[in-house]
Amino acid sequence: MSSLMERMLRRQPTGQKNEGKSRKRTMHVEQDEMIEVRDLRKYFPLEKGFLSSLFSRERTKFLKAVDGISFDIHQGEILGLAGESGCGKTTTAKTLVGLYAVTSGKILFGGQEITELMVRDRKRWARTAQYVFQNPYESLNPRQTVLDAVIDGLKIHRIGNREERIEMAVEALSRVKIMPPADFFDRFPHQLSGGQRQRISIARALVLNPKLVIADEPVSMLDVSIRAEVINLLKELTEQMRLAILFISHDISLIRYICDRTAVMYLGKIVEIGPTDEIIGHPCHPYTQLLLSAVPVPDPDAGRIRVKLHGDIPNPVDLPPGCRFGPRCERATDPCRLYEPERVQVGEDHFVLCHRI
Amino acid sequence: MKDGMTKKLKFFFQSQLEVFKGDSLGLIGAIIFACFIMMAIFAPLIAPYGPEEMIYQEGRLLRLQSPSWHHLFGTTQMGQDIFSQVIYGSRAAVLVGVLSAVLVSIIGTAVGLVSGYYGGKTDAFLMRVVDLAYGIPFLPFIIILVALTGLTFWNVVIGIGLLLWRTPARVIRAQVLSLKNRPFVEASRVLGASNFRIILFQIAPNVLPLTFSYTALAMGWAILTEANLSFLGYGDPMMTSWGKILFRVYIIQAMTIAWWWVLAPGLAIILLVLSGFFIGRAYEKVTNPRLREY
Amino acid sequence: MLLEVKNLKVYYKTTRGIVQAVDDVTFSLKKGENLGLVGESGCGKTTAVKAILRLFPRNIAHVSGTLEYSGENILQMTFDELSRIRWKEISMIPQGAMNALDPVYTIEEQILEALQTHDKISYPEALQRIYGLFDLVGLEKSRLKDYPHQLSGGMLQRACIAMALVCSPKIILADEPTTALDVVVQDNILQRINELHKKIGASMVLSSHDVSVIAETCDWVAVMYAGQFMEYASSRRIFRNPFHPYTFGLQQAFPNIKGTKKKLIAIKGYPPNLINPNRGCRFASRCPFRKEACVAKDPPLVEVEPLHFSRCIRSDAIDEIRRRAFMEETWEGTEWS
Repeated sequence: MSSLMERMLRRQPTGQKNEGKSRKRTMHVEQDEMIEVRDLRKYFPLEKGFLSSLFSRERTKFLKAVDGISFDIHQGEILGLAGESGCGKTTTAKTLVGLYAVTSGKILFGGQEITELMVRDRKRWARTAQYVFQNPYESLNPRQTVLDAVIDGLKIHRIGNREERIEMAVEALSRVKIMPPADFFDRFPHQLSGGQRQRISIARALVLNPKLVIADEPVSMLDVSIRAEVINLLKELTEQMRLAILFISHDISLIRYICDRTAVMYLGKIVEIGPTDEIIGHPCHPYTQLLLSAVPVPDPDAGRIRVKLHGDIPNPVDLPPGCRFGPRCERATDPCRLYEPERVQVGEDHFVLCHRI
Repeated sequence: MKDGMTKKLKFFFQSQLEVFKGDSLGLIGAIIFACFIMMAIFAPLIAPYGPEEMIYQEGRLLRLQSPSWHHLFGTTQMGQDIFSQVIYGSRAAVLVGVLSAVLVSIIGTAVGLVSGYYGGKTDAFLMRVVDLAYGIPFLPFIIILVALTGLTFWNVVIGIGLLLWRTPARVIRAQVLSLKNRPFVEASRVLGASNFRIILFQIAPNVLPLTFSYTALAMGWAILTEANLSFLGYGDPMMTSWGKILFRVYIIQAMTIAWWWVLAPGLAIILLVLSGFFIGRAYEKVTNPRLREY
Repeated sequence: MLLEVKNLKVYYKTTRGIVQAVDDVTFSLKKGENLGLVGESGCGKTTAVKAILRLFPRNIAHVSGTLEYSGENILQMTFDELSRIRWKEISMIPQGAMNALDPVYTIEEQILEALQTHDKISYPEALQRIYGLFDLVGLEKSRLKDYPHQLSGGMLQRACIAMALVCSPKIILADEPTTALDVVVQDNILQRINELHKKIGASMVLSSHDVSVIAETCDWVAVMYAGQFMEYASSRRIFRNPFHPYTFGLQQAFPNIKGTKKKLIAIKGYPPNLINPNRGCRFASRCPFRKEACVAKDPPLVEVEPLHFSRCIRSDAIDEIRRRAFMEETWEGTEWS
């Protein structure tokens, strides 16, 4: 795939101070550059009021949004991140893209540790990791034209001159099937449909030729009948451009459709991870089983076997000791209430965080 | 690059017209404002007499004449044509109004943008400055400032600019606070944009309608202030202004006798200030779609 | 027949013209039955549901047709008569119920207000009734004294369900009751709705864009598009034996959790402008099976099987349509939306 984009990006200096490092990076890349996340933690301190910070002796409480997760994403693969709201999927995504600083843990790209670089030099990391947001109605600046939005990244990184940027925009828009691209250049977001806006957001992310694209619920706000456009497109792009995609969704059926591997998150931990078909076909963690059993089926006669649940999701700030899912789990026993479970391998590339395997 | 710029400018002007299409009062305001600008620019051509020109008829000064076809708003104690005075007075009003408004909205927008976007200590500090500005009573401050630095029109503009930015600063800061967490701003960050770039290209354009709204409102306030100052005798002695006209009728206590002398400048002030408010409201509707009617 | 709606039209005015949000909708509801309105954003289902309680927006332009509740036409009632029906006979669980509660009053205050406005009932009796309902929906009584911000989305939704049941209405309207809820909470709510339906026997009119939610709760289903019913039949028939191309398209656009993985299709194009819509079938511009005749005249709702209606003039070619509908290439087309 020797597109103009690729050639441009290889030739052009990134305008960085450490020229040496950038030269090493542009020596790029038919090898599989993997994203490796090791024991990632992101805690948010909870602010105390002025008086209590003066007088109270309580230690600052933390919201442990992501509490020690590890996973890999390979090029050409779509990894699904499933879970309900509050489980930490969006926090993981934003940390991976450099919007949040890591509290502890390591992130590696192509074998090199980049944990600190991601935030310190976010501009450079932007060339590797990009993001597609959930809300197509809010993720484009209402006052920017389509062309401006798409070439913004090129302007920021000073890539190419005006004509070259326009060419790259044409290429990116064609990839996302916005045809003919030139017709859309001067349009504003409010003149476009939800599906078009989302595809333009994808084009904007692609124009910098990233290796990793994080798609955060990319279709949940789109009408059902046009979701397939964006979903099938993401799949195509992964193959065409050898992208690595982290696909976040609370819709398991969608994850089943598009993701090669899946990680199920609950209250900041990955409770199960493995090939999607395995996870859907043979879910081992009680929470995964619960999630799967809760999916409604478009068949009026289908009786679903539901996993029984006790209680509501606990307060993520005051977590009980032991396994996080313990309070709600049918199979919980004493060790579950005392010790946090370790990762257990239950299949080739299939891991579960549970005592009761 | 140039091609893109012309398209953008064209679009910019078109969208300003859109603002007024939906709001009839705003349109009226814009027309009135335009009339006053014309009046100010072409004053010597429109006004039948000079502003201080004393008019004689049959050898005698035409004092305190009530309105007639020759003198649409009558004459003053000194035989001056009030209509001409009002026309020439529009110059002071428009100049002070527009210049102060621009100054106020530039300072206010800049403070609002920086304070809202950066938050933290910068925000805290700037907002305390705003609190201070609110604590200072406006008219007394201007009077004292002008008395100390000199009764010139520039000092009035600066005086207004030193305080009135406090309102747009707060309002724009509030809007920036809501804008800065919107996905498209985060998207820009993810693309690698610097804070400066985000403020300039993502946030500022979205804050512009509010800026325009406050520019128009500030114009109204400025004109009133200038009229107040002149009425109290602190106006620029070199310029004719509506407030000064009122000052003159007041000091000779002729208000009950010469109602026309009060009506003319009063009407002018009301009309121009209202036009500012109507324009401001029209822009406010752009910012808050819920204010729009169907 | 509890509710009979005939030729309901609701239009509202905007700066660009008059939007025909609901255009000629007809259906009926028997005691104890549930009707589901399925459709995507802008299809008119929310407007149709709210019309049943005569809840119209400020910019309403035109309302016609009949909306009979136990024989009386709601659209022609006086305000007093309407107030007697609202909440007592027909109540509603609005969309985004978590935002439908006033943040400055406790849950108890709000439910009491609903109850005491319509029933002359003493405070202790009212409280007993509310306790009973909370049991039914699975909420702890202690939650009554809480403010809305102290409850989670799922709990708020359940509180709204309790509030809708408080006067023991005969019909409950639910506008997207589970959108914006997590799947586990959604499942919980759906279970409750089904249990309630069995216990109380009230009829329901549910609207949702999620076909599965409707499948699991409703006896009758109407597929809405561009303000009209495209297909209307029992839930079993619609899912097993659909007739309308839009229904086929919708089915194919949902990924399934069980069974073989098939390629998801997208229906190319986008919904028509409801300001002066074109003549002919409103789905025609996106339909892979359209013919000239489809855009020549407005297609009527015809009974293609007993108690199964479809607004498609090509129903006679159903076998071929069904065969082709399951093939990916049918929906490919050349233009994207």
